[in-house]
Amino acid sequence: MAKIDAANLSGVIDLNELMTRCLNNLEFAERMLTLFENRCGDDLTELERAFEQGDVEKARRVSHRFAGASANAAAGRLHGRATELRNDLREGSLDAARPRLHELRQEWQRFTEAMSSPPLVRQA
Amino acid sequence: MSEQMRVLVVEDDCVSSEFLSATLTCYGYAVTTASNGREALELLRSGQYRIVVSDWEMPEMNGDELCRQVRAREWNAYVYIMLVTLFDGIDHVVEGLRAGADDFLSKPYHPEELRVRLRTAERILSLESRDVLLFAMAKLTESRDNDTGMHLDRIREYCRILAQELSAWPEYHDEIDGEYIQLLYLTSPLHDIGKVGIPDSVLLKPGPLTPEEFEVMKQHTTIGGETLQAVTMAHPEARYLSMARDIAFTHHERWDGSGYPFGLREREIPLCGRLTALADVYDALTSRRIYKAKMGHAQARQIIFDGSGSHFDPDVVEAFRRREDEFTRVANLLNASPEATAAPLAAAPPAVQPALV
Repeated sequence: MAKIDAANLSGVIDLNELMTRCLNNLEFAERMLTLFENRCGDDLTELERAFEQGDVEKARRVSHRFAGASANAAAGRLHGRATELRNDLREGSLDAARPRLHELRQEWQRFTEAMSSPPLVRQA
Repeated sequence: MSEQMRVLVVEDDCVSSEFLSATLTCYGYAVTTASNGREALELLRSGQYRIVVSDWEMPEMNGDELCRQVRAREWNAYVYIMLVTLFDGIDHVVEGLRAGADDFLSKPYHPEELRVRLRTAERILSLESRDVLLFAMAKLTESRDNDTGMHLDRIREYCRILAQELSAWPEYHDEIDGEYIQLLYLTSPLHDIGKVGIPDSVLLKPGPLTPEEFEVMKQHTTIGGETLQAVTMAHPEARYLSMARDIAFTHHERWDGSGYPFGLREREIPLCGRLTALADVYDALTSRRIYKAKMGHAQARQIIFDGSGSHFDPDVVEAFRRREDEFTRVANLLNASPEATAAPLAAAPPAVQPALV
């Protein structure tokens, strides 16, 4: 289970909001972060496959799900990127939306790095 | 919550689903999850779920289509549907409500908002339970005395007319509001519920009652009142139960204190009892019974007027005087037709007329 480290996660997750949404239950919040990381990693893979296969509808559906999950997890920047991608895909063009997918991928990279970094206190 | 309310969460995203489920469980709900509308419909067939919290966009069947499918079917009880959506804008709200949703929640939702909206859902569902309960209890009363036809329907209409008239009087402004009138309408048919405890030999006797039989008959007020009092004590917050109890206890009390079971007088008698007393007597007078013919409105109104200040609250009699046209309209509409089929009363009334007890 993910252990919440406030210093590392502060740039990618609004921890106050997450804790509020998890009824100030730390175990609940950690469980949700783990679930979010696993699920959205799979979603990102599915999204890229949908782009490769030219399946706009599937890409739009997965990006919508990703946006919902990231909103729930208080991952504001990821939510923003996923929402932009979904909105572009509503126009029906994968090519036009491809830069958004790249941005989402970069944001996801930041998120996973923050999640996997050792706690700052130990780094010191 | 004395018993856990079951909530069906419909969500294809496991993160959102887990958020909802864990939050609702923490708030005391029993949660079941489905991953799309089709699966949710199958679960709803069990009849176990009164509240559905559903995502809008899902594979196989979206939330709006789930709403349409739920509304298109007959269920034992109303299913309350809250749609949770990432979409914003009025178009989605309108589309969802048109499809049959009861409420909306935007993602990301605040847990406290979810909680209070579900409390609202529970309140609405409890109103349905209340009305069904009252209807069933009233029907139980009717089943014991099928000579009375649409008596219960007329009683509640008469009570509503009287209460509406008095609500416009300044001195009743604080006592009678819209909720009071609605509760009176719902509970007045229970005035004779205690008759379920009266033996057939007395209740269904097609003639005058002996003094001993009359004493037995009078017990229907205390049987009904005490039964409802027991329920009221278990649910003191339910105003409709206390009103039903007061009506059952006091609809045979008289303004001058000569009524039963307590001999209450004037404003010691709850207003709902004073209103029901007049409605009940007027209906008994203008209805045909196996032992008596119908009385015409003119004759019945004179008896009511003569009873002002003795049998009836003068204010209630005045309300009746002002709205008597509506009484005759209800009587005609609900098959009591006093003017059309009125027949003279029997030459001498029996010592105790069953219709008036």
